[in-house]
Amino acid sequence: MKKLFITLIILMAASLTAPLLGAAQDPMETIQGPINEVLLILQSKSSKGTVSEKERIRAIINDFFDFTEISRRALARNWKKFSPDEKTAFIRIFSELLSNTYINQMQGGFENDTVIFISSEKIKENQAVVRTKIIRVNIEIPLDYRLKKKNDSWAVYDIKVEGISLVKNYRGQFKKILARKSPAHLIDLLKKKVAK
Amino acid sequence: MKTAFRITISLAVALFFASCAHAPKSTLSQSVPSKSKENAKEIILADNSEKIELEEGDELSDEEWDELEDEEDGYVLADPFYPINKIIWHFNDAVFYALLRPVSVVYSAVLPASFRQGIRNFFTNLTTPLRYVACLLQGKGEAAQAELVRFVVNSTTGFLGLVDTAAIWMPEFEKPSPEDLGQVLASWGAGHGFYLVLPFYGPSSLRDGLGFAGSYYLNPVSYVKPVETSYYIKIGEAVNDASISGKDYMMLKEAALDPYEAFKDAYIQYRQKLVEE
Repeated sequence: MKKLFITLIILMAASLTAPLLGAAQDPMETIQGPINEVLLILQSKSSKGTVSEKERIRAIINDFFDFTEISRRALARNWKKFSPDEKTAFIRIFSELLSNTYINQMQGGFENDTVIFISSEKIKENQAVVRTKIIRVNIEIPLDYRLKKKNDSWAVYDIKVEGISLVKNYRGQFKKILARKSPAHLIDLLKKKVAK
Repeated sequence: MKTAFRITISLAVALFFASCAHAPKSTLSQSVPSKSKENAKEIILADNSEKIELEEGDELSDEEWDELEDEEDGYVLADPFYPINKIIWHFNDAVFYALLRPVSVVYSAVLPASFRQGIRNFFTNLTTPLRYVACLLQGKGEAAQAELVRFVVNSTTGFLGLVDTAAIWMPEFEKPSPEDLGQVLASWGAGHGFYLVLPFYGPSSLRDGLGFAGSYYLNPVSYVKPVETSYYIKIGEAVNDASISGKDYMMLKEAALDPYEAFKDAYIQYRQKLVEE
């Protein structure tokens, strides 16, 4: 166990000293700070499970997640079917659902997780993937963040847990619903889900 | 027994033909590519003054979305037994919440996490023969070797597999990605065939279901006599697993709008990842 622990420390230290990739902020840098912040908040016992904790985490998440991009990709070609007002409403409610799910799970008992940042690779000129791992007891969960560069800053547009892409998962569900129902109906469904 | 064998063979043959016949992607309206020329809109929201920028010039046409999805997905799984699958899915879900979950919660309260992980390690170790054979059948020599080494080390120094000593003392033999007969069939070119939800065992497919049926014979627990004991052991293993991973199931279900669809998609993506590894 000690060996593993030391390896983890070295890995983390190594990743923190990773060289900058040019003028624009490095993808890994972009998310490392916020994620560590979130972990810190979760691990601090003082504000456990309170509303303010949730709010703080939400503010952090909004910074490095591009919810507009996530919404577009989750709707894919159905994005066109939404009016501008519906688009806005969708982005807001969908991002709320995603944030809540993420936060509820973090608050719900995964507090003893540690996160290792493994690597940062550029797929295209403006797309990158940062690979991380969540260590929970003896289990390792691979978690990949996909980022897109817009206006010189990187933001997350998809997460892959154990190879399962969040955006793809929702896209399938939305496709099925929108095949028979209207965008307004989908927004309604999301609202009901969030309100629960 | 002969009939069962014949049925298995004919199913396997059907698989290879079915692998080419996954459901065609539905091309909806043959719409003309539309690139809106509107300028970027900034919409300031009254309550929390969050600005959401809609860059209309960014619109992709249907064809481009097709390409994007192809890049990412590449797999559509037919679901011809949708009505039955859905019923079984809901049945499994009910069993989880009504039986498995409550029992696993009590179980978790009694046994500390490290013990339960130990038991999981024990069962993982026990099913090495299956993964070993699956590695060999895919020509994955290194992985097979790693499985064997880890099995020997863990069974001896690791108290019959309770402790994963191999991970500590022989880290050069990294824990290989778990192989199974379904992945073997995949490596031989078989497609999923169609989606199947198995009672109790959950999402599967024709191909993976066959692999699963075959793996019965490679699982030492299956040979325990009397046969009820082997069932109890398997149930025990399920409870133990639920105590560790139960929350993941609930999380995915909570996050989903359409849980049936979400789990089907998660299954496809997860299996794809395993096959690629």
